[in-house]
Amino acid sequence: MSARISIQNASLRFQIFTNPTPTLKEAALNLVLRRPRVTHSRDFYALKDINLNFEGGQRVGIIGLNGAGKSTLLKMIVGIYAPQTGRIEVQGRVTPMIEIGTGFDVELTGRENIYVNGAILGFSPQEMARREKEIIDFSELEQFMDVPVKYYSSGMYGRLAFSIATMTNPEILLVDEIFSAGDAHFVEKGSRRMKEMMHSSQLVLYVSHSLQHITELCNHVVVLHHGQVVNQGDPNEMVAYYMNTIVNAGNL
Amino acid sequence: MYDSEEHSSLARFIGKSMRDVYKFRFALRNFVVNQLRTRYRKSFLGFLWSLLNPLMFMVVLAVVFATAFKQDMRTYGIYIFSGLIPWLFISQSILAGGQVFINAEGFLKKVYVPKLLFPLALVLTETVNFFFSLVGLYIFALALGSPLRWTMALLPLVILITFLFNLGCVIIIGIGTIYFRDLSHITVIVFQALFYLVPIIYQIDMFPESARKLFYLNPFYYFINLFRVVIYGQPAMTWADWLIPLGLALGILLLGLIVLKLRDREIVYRL
Repeated sequence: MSARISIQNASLRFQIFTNPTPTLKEAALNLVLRRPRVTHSRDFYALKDINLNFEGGQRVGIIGLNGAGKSTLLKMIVGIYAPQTGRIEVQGRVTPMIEIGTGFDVELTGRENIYVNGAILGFSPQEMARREKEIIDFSELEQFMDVPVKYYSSGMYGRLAFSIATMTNPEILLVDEIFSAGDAHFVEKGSRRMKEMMHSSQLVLYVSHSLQHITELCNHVVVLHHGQVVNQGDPNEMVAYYMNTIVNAGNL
Repeated sequence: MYDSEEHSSLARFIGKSMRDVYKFRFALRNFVVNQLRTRYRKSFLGFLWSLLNPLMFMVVLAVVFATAFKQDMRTYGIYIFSGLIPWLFISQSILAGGQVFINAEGFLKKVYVPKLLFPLALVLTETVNFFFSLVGLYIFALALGSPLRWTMALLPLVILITFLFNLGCVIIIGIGTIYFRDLSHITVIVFQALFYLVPIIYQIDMFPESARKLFYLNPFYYFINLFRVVIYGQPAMTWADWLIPLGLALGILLLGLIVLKLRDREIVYRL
C-alpha cells in the first residue's frame, strides 16, 4: 500500500476565548442574576479551504510566513487538531517530528524515556530494546543514560529526543524545523540523518524557513499564506513566487 | 490510516477508540507503571503510605462509631472495612479524574494520543493501587477475625464492574472540568457529603423502611452494597445485587463514551 494524504476542503478554526477558564460558579451566578453569558470568543481561521493531495514519492516543502498555518497543517495531518469542516484521509504510518521531546517524563531517566517515548510512537518494549543501543550511540549520551532527564541540558534533551524520533522507518514523515538545540556538530550529524530518512520514506512533508533546504530536498512545494494555499508546484518556481509576491511585496 | 470522518456514528467511534487503545497499549502500560512508580518512589515508606492512610481512617471510624453505636468493635471494624474499601476506590478515581485531560495537555496538544487512554490509565492506576490496599487491609481484617468466604472469589468480577463505572465517571467529570474549571472543587464537597449518605459507617436497617428508599436512589450505594455482600457476607446475595451495579456501570460508561464522542475534537481547542 502506498502512502497517501488527501485533504478535501478542510478548514480549521481556533476559538480565542476572552475567559479561557470558565467556572460553574460564574455560570450559576450568571443564571441567577440574569446576566448575559460572557463567553465571548473570537474565531480565527488557521487553515481555510485546504485542498491538497500527496502521494508516495513526493517530498513536499511547505513555505510561508510565521503564522501562515504551516505547523497547524502538519498537526492536522497527525490528528491532533481535527478540521471543523472538510475531510482528511491519511494512508500509511506517520512519524511526526513536529515538537520534539514531547512525551518525556522528566522524572525518569534517559533510558526509561526511550521506552516511554517509543511507546507513544507505537513501538513495543521489545522493538525499542533492539533500537536502544543505536539511539544511545547516535545521541552520544551513553554516560547520562541513567540520569533523570530533568538534569539534562536543553542540548542533551534535544539530542535524545531527535535520536528517538529518527530511529523509525516511517512511511510518512512530517518534519517541522527542529534543530533549535544542539551544537554545530550534532546539527550537521542530524541533517545527514534527516536526509537519509527523507530518502527512505515514501512521503515527506517538510516545513522550513530555509528556502535553500527546501529547494535542495523537495520535489514539490506548497505556499501557504494566511491559512490558505496560494500556490503549489515546482520548488524553484514556488520559492521565486514566495519571495516576489509575499515576502517582498509586503503580504499580498 | 487516519480518516477525519471516522467519527460519524457512535459505533464507529467506539470501534476506532478500541483499535486506538490497542495500538497504544504500550503507552498505556507505561503511563500506569510510571504513575505507580512516581507515587511510590518519592517516599521512603512508598506503598505503605497508601495502606496506612485508609487503615488509620478505618481504625478511627471503628473505634469512634463502635463506641457510639455500642457495637462489637471487631464485627463493626470488618463492616466498615467492607464498605470503606470500595468507597475509597470510587471516590479517589473520580476525584483524580477531574484533572485527567487538563494534566494531559502536553500530550494532547503535541502528539496524537487517543483521548480515552488518559482516563483509562488513571482508572487502571487506581485499580492497581486499590488491589494492593485491599490485600493489605484484608490481612488486617483477617487478624480481626473476618472469615474467608467463598464469595470472595467473586471479587475480581466486582472490581471489574466498579472499574467500568469509574471509567465512565472519570470520562464525564474529566470533560466537564475542561468546561467548568471549578468542577473539581465542587466534586470534593459533594463526595464529602456522599460519604455520609452511603451506608459505610452505619447500617441501612438502622432506618425505618420508608427512609431506606432514599438510599436506593443513590447509584453509589449499589457498588458499596455489592462489595459488602461479597466481603461481609450480609445481606444475602441476590441477582439484583449484581445486575443493578452492572447496568449502572454499563450505562455510565456508554454515557461517558457518548460525551467523549461529542467533545473529542473540541477538547484540544479548550485546554
